[in-house]
Amino acid sequence: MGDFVFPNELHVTWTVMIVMYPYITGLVAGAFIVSSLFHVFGLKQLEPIARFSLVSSFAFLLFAGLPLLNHLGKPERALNIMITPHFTSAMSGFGFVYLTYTIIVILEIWFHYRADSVDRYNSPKASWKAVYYILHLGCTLRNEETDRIDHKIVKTLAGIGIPVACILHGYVGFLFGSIKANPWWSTPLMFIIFIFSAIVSGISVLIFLYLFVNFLKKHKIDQNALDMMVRFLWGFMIIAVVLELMDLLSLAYEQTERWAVLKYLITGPLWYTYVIGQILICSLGSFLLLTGIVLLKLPQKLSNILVFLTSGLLLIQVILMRWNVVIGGQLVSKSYRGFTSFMPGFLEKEGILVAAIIFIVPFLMLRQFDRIFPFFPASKKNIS
Amino acid sequence: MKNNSHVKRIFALLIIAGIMFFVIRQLLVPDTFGVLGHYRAASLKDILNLEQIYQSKDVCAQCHDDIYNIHEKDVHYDVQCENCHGPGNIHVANIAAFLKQNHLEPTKSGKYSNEVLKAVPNKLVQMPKEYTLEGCLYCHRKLESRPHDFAQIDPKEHFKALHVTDISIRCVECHSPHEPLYLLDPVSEARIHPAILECEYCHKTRPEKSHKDVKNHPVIFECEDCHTAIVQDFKKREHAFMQCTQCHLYHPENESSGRIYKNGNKQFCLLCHEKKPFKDQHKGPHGLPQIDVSKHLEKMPGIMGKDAQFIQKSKTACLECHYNFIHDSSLIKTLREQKQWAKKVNL
Amino acid sequence: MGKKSKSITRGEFVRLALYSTAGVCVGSMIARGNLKDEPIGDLSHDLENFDWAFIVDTTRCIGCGACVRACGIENRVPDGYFRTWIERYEIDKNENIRVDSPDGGKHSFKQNQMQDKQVVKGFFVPKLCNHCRNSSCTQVCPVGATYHSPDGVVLVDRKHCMGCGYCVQACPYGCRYISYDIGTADKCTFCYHRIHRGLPTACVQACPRRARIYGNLKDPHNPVSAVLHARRYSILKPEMATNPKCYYIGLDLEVI
Repeated sequence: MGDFVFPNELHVTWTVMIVMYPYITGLVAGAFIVSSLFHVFGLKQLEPIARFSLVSSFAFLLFAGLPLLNHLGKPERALNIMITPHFTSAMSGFGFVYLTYTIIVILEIWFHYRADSVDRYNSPKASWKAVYYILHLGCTLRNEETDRIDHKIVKTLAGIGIPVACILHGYVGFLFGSIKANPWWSTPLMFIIFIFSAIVSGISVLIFLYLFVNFLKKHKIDQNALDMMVRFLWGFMIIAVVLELMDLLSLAYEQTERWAVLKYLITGPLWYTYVIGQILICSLGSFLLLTGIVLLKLPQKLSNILVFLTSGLLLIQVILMRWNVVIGGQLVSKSYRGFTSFMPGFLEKEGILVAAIIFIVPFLMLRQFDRIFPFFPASKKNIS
Repeated sequence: MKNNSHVKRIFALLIIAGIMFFVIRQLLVPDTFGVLGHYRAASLKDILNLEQIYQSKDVCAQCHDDIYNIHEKDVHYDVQCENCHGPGNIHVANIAAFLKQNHLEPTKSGKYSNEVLKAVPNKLVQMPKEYTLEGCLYCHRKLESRPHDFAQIDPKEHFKALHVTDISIRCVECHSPHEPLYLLDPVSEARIHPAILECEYCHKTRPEKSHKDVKNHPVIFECEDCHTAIVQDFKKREHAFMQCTQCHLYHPENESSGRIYKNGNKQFCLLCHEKKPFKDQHKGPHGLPQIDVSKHLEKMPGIMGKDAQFIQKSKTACLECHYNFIHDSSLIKTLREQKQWAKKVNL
Repeated sequence: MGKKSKSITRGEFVRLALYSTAGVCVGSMIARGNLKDEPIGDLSHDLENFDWAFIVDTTRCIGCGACVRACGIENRVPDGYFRTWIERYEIDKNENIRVDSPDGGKHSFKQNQMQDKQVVKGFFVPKLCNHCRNSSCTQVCPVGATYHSPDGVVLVDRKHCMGCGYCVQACPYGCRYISYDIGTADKCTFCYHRIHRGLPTACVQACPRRARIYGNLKDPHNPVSAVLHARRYSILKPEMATNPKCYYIGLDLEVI
């Protein structure tokens, strides 16, 4: 394999920020789906984490647009995407899908928390009364009927939200998969792969946080909820990995012109992040761990520790997958004759420090929200 | 307050926000957007009004027609002035402003007279003269990927063949950039000639054997096949080691034919034969005879007065006397009348 | 449950909503006052007489780089990026091929790539934006900042582009880049500002070998059609079905 790239390809255009964006929207979509599994499909075991999932989705959603805004050459024109959207472009969907999804999530949270919030407003020692008043648009009535209405609306919104969440993340997959010019990206499977790996990352982050937070607070976890999430994680993870590998397998088998250069991509620049990292350690390793956890009868504590480990591994798997897709695709020259190289900077405008900050802040926000409206109230049955 | 008031209120808010969004959006869409397509049509005007930077040869010719005329006659006619001298927009703008300010007009033919040109101060017009070695080598460096019929040299080999000892010398010490080959007739008057195939067209390096000595070699037309008498005679003379095309420059136009130049310009001969401080003199058995042009004629006994003036002004001055180093004069029409000089100087 | 809350009436709510709407509208009108566009008049009618096309003759290119330098100056192309560039191909006697484009060919080529091996075949291929009729770049622009002009040139609107870089990814030929100078996408404009003043593009003018030809396909005597009817030609990446308007004479199989 030679080393020729087109002169304009020496510089990689989409870097760390564009790796972060699908990762965060993946967490958004995945967390929302878990919440909807309870609200729409009535899986009662998931009730303890339903609210937590929903708010996590929202916290990540607030920060999902930030990497894109940071990346744009002219961020002050970001709203052009809503003012003059060009609907032949997958990216034009960003404006309206994002907006619709945000409205759905905000509405769902509003209706979900209304009961608690109105109670607080009406309680004698309430502070911030003005804020609550505005928040409720001046309606501070609560009774069984309003509760029933609220639940019904939440269920409807959760139902509508599932396809919207899928589109929110799926369009990113389509955005990559529809680029015929890029041999690593171009595949019809990309849309589906992104949706499933988003769900995997969403469930993983919820499990990870759930175990982590309750460990810190020394609360007892709801084992049924956890077990159900682990089973869903196992199932979705298998589908996601099978889809990713199918894409690779058919490339390697059909051996069209693309394979001639992509095989050098996989064994060369992407060897550690793709073959060793994403596939062997994080996919195969997680698969073995989860299969063991689900099928074998392990002691509770060991099982939960392994679940924690696996969810961490899967979080890493998904970000590696985003890295390999976004960066890997741009390393291949469109001349099919070589690769360029990329090493992210730490302190750059689109560097690792900024990415880390954008990633961590939603977690900090969740912690603050937890202080106002605790996700896991410390009732008698919770304290171990 | 009804039980579903809060629902009505929030959805009312949503609907109002939606309407506001569309109203605001309508206000923010640029005027010319969507007129010709899904883009801002005024952008076409933005791009059309961009500044033009490169002028062209024709613009340079308005003032520099003396150089322009020389340039158009020689082999660099297709090389833009600005390729070597850099873009001319500031130069032209400054001069135009100066001329306007001082109410100076062009002549009837549209060109500016020398007096007008001299009036323009130097610091307004200074343009770089790019003629370092590297500038010429951008085109003329010998590279394997360049078409074989394109004039290209390896500087080391070129200097060696010409006995140049100072390798830092610039091309322009011998070749004028405006008329590098000092052609006798303008390029536009070159004659059509069937394709000339050099050995290098097929072979990497010039083979030592003649193709006639090789079995089953494809039949090739050589100059000798049509111009038999001249070539056979040429081979007996001092310049026999050279190829015909080194002086009779051939320029291919397509696969079957091209243009050929007669040549004979004195300056062309001097490219090899002029004495220069950076060349070594007559060294070894294949030494290159070099002359000091100004002093050369003084050495010639028997040529004085009007004859000397005639020779000095003649474009084919070298051939007036030295034709027999190249071709037998009886074979060449234009030289038949010049035999008189050879007799006078006993050549 | 709880004490009686002070709820606002419907009337108050509606009034509040209407006032805020009015406020936002006034603010937007003020903001929009800064976005006035120049009217275009009869422009599209004039432009419809043209349909620009380009020819690159790879049998004539000597890789001197004059086109790259001229384009860079004429269009203020930022350092390290190229609206046009030259690729060099060398094939040795074992059929190994080496391709390079040092700094896009801007300072020509200093030496042969294959030093010790014998080159049996070599050539130069200048490349530029193909101004495809069915371009991927205009398809994927999310805001309508890159478009086809009425005379068939693919252009970028610098005042509307937000620099997302999607078009750069979508171009199969690597012609586009994000200009760090201005923060938007950029590429060859076919020297639009020159061709409509009757001047050749900067690269066509600079080329000393007539390896580049441009013309208006709607002109019955245009030079592009004349060459296309006389010589064998090809296009880059035909499988991408972008229907480019840049044709290559003497394009070798090795050129992708």
